Amino acid sequence: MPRQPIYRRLGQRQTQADHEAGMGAYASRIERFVAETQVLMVYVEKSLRLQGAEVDLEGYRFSSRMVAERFAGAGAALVMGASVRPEDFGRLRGFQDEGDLQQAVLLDAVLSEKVDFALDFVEQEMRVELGRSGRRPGRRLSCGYGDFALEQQKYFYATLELARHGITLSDRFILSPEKTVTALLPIYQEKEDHA
Amino acid sequence: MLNFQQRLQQGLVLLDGSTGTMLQKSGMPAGASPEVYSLEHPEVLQELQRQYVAAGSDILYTPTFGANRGKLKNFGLEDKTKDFNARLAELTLAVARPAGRLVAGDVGPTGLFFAPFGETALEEGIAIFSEQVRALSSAGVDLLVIETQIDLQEARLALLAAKEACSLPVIVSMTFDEHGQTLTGSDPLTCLNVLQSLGAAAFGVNCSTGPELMLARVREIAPYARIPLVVKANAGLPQVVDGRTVFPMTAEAFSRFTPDFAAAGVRVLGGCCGTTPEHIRLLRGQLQRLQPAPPVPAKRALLLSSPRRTLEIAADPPTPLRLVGERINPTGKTDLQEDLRAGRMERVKTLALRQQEDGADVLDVNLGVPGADERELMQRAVAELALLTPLPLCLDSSSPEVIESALRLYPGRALVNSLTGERAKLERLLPILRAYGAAFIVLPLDDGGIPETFEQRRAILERIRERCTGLGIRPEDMVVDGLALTASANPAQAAVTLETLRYAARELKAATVLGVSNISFGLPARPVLNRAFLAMAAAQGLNCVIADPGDAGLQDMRLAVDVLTGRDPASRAYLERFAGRPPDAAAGRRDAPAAEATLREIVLQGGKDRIEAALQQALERNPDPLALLEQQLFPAIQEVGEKYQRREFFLPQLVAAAETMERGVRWLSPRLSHDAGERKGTVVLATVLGDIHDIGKKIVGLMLKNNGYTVVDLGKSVDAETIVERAREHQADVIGLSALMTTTMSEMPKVLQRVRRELPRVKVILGGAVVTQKYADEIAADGYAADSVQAVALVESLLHAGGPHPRKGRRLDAAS
Repeated sequence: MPRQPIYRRLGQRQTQADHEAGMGAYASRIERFVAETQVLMVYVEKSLRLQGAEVDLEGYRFSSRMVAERFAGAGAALVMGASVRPEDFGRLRGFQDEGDLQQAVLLDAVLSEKVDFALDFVEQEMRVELGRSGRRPGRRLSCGYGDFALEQQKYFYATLELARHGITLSDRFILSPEKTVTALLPIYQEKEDHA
Repeated sequence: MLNFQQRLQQGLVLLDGSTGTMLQKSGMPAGASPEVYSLEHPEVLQELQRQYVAAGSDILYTPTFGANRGKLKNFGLEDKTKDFNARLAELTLAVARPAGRLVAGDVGPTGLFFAPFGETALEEGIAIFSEQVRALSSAGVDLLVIETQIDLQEARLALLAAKEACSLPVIVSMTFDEHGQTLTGSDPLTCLNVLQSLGAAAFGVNCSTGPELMLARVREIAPYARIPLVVKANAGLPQVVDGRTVFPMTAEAFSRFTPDFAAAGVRVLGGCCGTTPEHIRLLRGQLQRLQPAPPVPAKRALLLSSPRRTLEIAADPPTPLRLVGERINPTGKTDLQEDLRAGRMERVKTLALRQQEDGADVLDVNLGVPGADERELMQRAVAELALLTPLPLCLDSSSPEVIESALRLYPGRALVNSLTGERAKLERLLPILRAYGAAFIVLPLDDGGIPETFEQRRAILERIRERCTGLGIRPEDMVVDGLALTASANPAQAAVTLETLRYAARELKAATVLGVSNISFGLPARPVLNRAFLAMAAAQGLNCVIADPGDAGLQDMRLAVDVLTGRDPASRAYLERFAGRPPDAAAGRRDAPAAEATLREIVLQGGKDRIEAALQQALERNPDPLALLEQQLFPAIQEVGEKYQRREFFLPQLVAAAETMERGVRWLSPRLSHDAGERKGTVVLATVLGDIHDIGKKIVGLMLKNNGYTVVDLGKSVDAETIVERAREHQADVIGLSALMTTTMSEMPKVLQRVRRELPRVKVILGGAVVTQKYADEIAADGYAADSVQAVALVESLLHAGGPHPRKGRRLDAAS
């Protein structure tokens, strides 16, 4: 996975190389954390119907004007999720509990960017896959923004069977490990153009 | 009909254009599998392929890009893999053969992520590709093309499977993003080096970008290509227009890049997504006017690759002396031996990272320990180190089986330590080295032992070279070890070693390596001898040294030697290391005790393990703890904050310094008089209800403590009532609220309302990734801080400078 996003999260400016930014001393620890942690990716495609602000994912319905507007024209959606292993997150909590904030900050940056990378990886794969069959992905959207209520996490949780991977959902719809990210990716059909 | 290799010798070769996008235009429904559609509508596919033939394509791709078990499983058709590949290949052959065109069996990615980076086992990947390749080969295709690969390891596995399943030539084509990397972080040169060494017949780039960016990639790698280069670009970068993905580059514009590609050394061209028979027709027109560029011999260099980086070892112009780190070796290290017997890898990883930090270019990995499964250990080490370090590996084992299993797994191009003239080694190891395309160290010894004279060594090297040439192994893949023997036992051997190096460099034109420390075994002042020998060997053309990268004196000598042998133009590396050093500074080991650092330096360096001892010494010199606190520690942490604001320090340095300061203050506190220890105020911190993020809040708390505040951290997901009660209990001056989610920000106004009603004198400040100054103003908070340094400044200004705080929480200096 690319390292630059990790360094940017730790404050490095985009134009600076690692050694110039004085981050060289931390590079080895970052590399160790990248090597030792793993990320989980799960996704499944569902057909999508939109009517007004109502969103229907193969029988699961909820209201969100934001989703309806952003996903207008999409006939399907990829329900996707990525997370870190519980033991990796436990290690992060351990650093914090022990007061070793420096390690915690480095590991936190690695885990956060790894999860984002996992979703990017899936999107990239889908882009090629969908392109071959006359479809294309749009921009992904996570619940908890606008009127795409955080409550919809329960749908992601159930559909992606996240419990099997040691992920829990609180009664306030917070996924734990807290690095767990879910998203909906719209899938559009290309308009037909018969030559 | 000419085969692929013969066709290449005739001139530039033209592939076809896109299949997927053209099938869509011909009516393939959205969401359909192109493989299934082609089987159900063979006339549509074949008509398209006839158009490519008419446009001038020399080679047609079978429509089997997604016809591997991994992808067909998505449609529940995995059991039809063999059948689909055979039938789809037949359709293309039926068009190509009557027209005298070649057919390439198209193999695309599986969508799986393979070991060591992913969870799918290596052999499972090879089995998936093998199944498809066998079916295509049996159907009668002329070559294979492994294309649109985004992961170097997957491309390797596909190529290995192809080589093991058939004898067809294989093109391997990778996809790079606009930054010139695969999705998993490999650059074009690394991919070229690994795949051409592994036996690809041609290497290419396809998809993702248009011709312009691909030209840049080709120019980067052309000097090192020993096999033909292939380009199959998209018709520009895709844009979405009116709900359709459009590839905007016209056929004319697309074809205009052809002369540039030919001049850059590309021998095979085609079109990917968005290209049409018209694009191919115009490409053909351009090709007819062009002659291929005269073949330029690839640069004579040895390239070693990790998955992320390629190291060049060359004689002309000479590259700097490369350092092979020797520390991952259990000989004489009982702790490492114990770890390996117990299957623990921690120490191996630590040694790898330390050598990397010390400047190693390659890492030698030797894990042979009696009582341990060396094969299993080596596989684990290769898997871990491939992830951990960008340095290429040197696999060091006397067992060909261990070497083979590691080479099969390693997603790079390794150096193998080592091959000798012993008959068993030549018979068993040489074919393995050839099969995996590894570079290898050659020791000039044989079944008769280590020869005493140079002439005997030369005879062994020549015999080995002959065997290599017979197997098609290039001399450039050999690295001749000068084989240093201890000078105390036989002083004349040093000269034999030097002569061996000179011969290898000048006559064999091979790279050379030397384990310098052998020369001084049994003698005092070993580092002195080692460095002297290194300098002498470098003068004979030595390319690599096997040594401890932590030996600073050896590193100094290495850089000096590079200057004196012309390997460091403008003495750049030398100046970087030595500029500013006092003229008589003696180099020593990296772990020699440093000169005593000041308290300020220790805080800035984040030396929390040194602060207490340093404070003890400082107090002994000047028994005034308050002065230490106010005149040294506080200014130091303020300087850290200023460096952070100026982007000279980043978050890890800030935290390291803050932790050091905290430890120092904790140590000093019992030694301060009561009033001297008085705190500046009390701050209660909490992450609001429903939010569980708190690492940023902890850093804020640490910085506030270091700046003289009492901090009460209430933790995560704290409701408004509890925050107010606890603030009352601790007589807080400031409450700091943190939220990292937009959904939890809404708790902040609730806390604010209660505070205003029940604790009107208490200030409330906000922080967290989703919070902004604007939001803080909207809900009438007393301030917002973007980071921990701003938080300290904000609290200072609220409690000790009076009046409304500056907009961005900038610290007021004493004068304002």
